[in-house]
Amino acid sequence: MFYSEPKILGISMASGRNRRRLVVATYAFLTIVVAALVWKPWGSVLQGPVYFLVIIFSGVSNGTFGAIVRQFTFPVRRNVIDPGLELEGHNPTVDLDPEPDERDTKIRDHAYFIAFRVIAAGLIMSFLILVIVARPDFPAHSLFTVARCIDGLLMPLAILALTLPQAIILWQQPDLITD
Amino acid sequence: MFRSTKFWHFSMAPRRNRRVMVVAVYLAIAAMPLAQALTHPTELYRNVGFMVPLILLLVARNVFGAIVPAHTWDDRRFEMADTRGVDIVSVTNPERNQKIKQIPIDPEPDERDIAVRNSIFFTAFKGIAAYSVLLWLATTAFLNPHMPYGIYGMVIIQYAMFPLMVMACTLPQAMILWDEPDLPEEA
Repeated sequence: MFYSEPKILGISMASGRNRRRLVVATYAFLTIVVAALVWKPWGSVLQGPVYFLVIIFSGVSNGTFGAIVRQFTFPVRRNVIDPGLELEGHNPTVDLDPEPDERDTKIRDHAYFIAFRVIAAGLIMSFLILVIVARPDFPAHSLFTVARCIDGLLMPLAILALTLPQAIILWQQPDLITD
Repeated sequence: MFRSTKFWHFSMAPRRNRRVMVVAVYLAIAAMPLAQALTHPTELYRNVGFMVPLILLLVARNVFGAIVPAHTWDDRRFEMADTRGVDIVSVTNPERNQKIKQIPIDPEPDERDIAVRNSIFFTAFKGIAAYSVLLWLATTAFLNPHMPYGIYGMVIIQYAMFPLMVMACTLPQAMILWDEPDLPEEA
């Protein structure tokens, strides 16, 4: 489940408290970025959603959280060439993320169970907000308001969809035993 | 895992019947936005918007939920039982009500049930995650500040949100109904 001796910026993430701080810090940062993106004060600097998604996917899912615990939603195989098995013309690789064992599968599936409930609740609430805002008799109704509202509701959901299960695992698992 | 193997007069023990039911329910759900698209395409959710989650929750609770519990939210069901064999709630004698207990209808899930449930949620989450990321990307294409598609961009996104709602409310139950093998018939 966890990579051995997980560290972020030299800080050991074996302690559950440190991992929780990391989760809080990451989401606090993402909240600021999302708020800024919805408000869009920077114009076209960060307007490209594709770049933002890449940042989330590679930076958080596979970088920050991904440095400690594997992400399973959109798994990326991480291979290294095994020098001991290197043959002429071939590059035999070793998978850094072996298949999860029974305990890991249990932890992973439980985290996804919780994550799904959170996402489902968020979606229903978002939908109801959208229905209110999209009504023509809503005071601030305009095409632009509704568009920004949809953007502001779907963006956090997309971010949670990419990061939440890992965050739950990081949050829930007890301190790791290190050498 | 399963509450009952019957829905109305139909046996839901065979997997084939459950699959037919899932397809029928989803076709009926799909008829809602389709009918709107054919009649007043730009007014989706305008008057019946609040009804959409209610209808979907109703499906999750009373249609799929008649066979398998909706685990997405607390869907435990209880029945009233009186320790003295009288199951009438007394208004004038509150002390008597304390003796009336609520007995859960759903048995506690065993280890296999929990494993199946969580595994289904793992798969369902992947589906909902992929769809929501794609939808958000589509949103930024259709609803950017220049509004290249005007009102129609928003209408497309609103229709595209509908399957997301359906997934959030019903997908894990539908997957359990679809995947689980044939069950023994109830006595």
